[in-house]
Amino acid sequence: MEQLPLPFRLPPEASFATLVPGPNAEAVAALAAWAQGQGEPFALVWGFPGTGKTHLLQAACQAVVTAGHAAQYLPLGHPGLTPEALTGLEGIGRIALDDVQAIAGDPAWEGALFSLFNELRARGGGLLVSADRPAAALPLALPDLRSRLGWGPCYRLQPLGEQDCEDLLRAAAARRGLPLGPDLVDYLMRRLARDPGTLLAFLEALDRESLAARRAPSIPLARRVLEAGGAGL
Amino acid sequence: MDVWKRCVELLKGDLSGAEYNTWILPLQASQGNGELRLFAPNKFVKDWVSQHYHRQIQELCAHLSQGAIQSVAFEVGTLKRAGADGPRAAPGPGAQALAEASAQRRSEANLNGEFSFDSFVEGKSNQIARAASIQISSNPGTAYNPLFIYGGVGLGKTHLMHAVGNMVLDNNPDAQVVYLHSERFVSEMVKALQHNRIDEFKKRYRSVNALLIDDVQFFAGKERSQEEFFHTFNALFESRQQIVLSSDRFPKEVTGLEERLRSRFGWGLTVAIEPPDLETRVAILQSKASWLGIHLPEDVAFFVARRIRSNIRELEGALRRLGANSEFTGKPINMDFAMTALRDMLAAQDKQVTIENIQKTVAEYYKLKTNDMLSAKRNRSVARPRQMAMALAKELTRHSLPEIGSAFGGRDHTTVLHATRKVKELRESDSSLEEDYRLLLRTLTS
Repeated sequence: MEQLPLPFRLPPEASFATLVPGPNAEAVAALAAWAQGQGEPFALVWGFPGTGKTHLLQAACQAVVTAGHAAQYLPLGHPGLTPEALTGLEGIGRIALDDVQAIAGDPAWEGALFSLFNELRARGGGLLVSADRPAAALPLALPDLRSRLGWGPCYRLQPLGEQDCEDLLRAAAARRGLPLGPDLVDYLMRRLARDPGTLLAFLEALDRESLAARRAPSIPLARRVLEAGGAGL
Repeated sequence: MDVWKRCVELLKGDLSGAEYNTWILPLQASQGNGELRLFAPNKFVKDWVSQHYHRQIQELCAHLSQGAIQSVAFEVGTLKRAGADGPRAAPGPGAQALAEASAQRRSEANLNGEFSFDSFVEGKSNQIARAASIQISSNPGTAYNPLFIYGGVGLGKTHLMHAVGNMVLDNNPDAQVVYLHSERFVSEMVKALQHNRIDEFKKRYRSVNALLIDDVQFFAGKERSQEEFFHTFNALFESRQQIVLSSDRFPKEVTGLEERLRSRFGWGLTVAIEPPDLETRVAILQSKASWLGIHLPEDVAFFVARRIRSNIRELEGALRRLGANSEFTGKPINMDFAMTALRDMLAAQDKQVTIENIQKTVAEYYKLKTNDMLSAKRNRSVARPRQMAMALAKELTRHSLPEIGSAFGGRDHTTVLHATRKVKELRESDSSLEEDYRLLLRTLTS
């Protein structure tokens, strides 16, 4: 009989330490400086899904908190959020708003973000924003907000390269205590889409399967996970 | 704070990354008298956390403190302020004390000392607005009242208003000056009403020597605020105190405002700021660069100014991006990087390269039909372009090898692997093929 693994899930370790900068070293350095209260206080990072925007923003907020200050990370695409989530945030110095395109075109949200921006700027706070496109191309109804989001430097995140993805897979597996032989890594790198989201989701599934089957990860085991995962993996 | 720290560690293991980072990370804790008080940055976060995680946190803390913590309370607030409050120098004698007193006055007036007439770059597009602003700064309340500055976003209205406030303060350090965005006027008024402090609010704004209100179009539809602002306006106007207003359009065109307010806005002098011309944009870039300590070569300044015509904020954004890159790489700003950075910034509809697009582009390039790419044909005139398209798909998309294979008429992933290796090999030995590859790469990514 198959042993059922506990529904226990390791949270993604979204810190700078677990981040593979790859082609995005400049953006990573800029955000690390931001977290220390140095460098540009307002910045926008953009890129396609899977380029690590969320990881980067969460890592920056964790670094702010580690340094003993308050920070707030908010995923604006989260269905439970309302514009009130932004009210009064200027009271803390460092804010990171993920997926700003999710609220573009909504007057209440845009107004709330516009006010927050003005207040943060007046008080010397800092704001990081992520988007799936550059500020100038965001479908915002309030041109005042668009021009403000483009006021600071805008970093485009590039997808990780082949070798970066392989490094990420190995490092994430090592953190889970999951041994992956060179053959298996080779096998996976040929079959998995080359983005961190897919790789980490696969690893989680592989970990579960390996736990349930009480077998170390192997190519046949990985094949089973891949087949069960369908096109999503 | 050991209990809270350990509690956070356990929560980290239980919650998803998004939940943990959004709701737990911003909390700050203080402990005493058997109670753990958790501070959230605003009411929304406080309500959310107490609704979703109160029991879990309470149980964890009671367990971790071995019963020493009996209750957990949530409040809005922070223990330490991040970012804004750097260490302040102790008040010193002479010039330093004076400078500090002046900085203090500016901060009370919400003025940014960096926005002065000196740092404002004059051009044909803003000459009149600038001259009028200087004039009222020298004779507040008597020259033109109100001064109404209008123009599109990011053209320097706010800069001019701050410059007026700063100059009024420089000329008369005892003057009461307030700069305020109209939204802030509204929210302060609402707060004053809620806390029964509306008289204090009225007194504050009706007793200033210069009131600078930015973006008055945001008063639209807010009747109670307009009413209050109407009385503030009258009080200041009658006592001959200076009023400066800005908006994105001409006073008569600001919709959603009461007629009596709109007409008053036009009582003094109305001046426009137009988008800057190329020379002014270059001058603005150079001025901002020298202020930010960035060395900006002239060819790059012209290049940026030609591409970004819409507003000054975007010009500044581009400049800051170039400066950040130069600092990061330790290399001077050059045209190559400016071109890349701006292409990224201006990419209005940056489309993701798809396998279909690659097949179509490669087929066109080699004068084939897209269907040939997917067919079983194996003669070289078809096979080579197909290999090229596969290699490009691997380079430009994040699809896995089996996905790429199946998009090319259901081929095996080993075929894709072979194709990418073959193209790599040929690019090194065959310069015309290398040329084809580069051209295709450029077509697909530009």
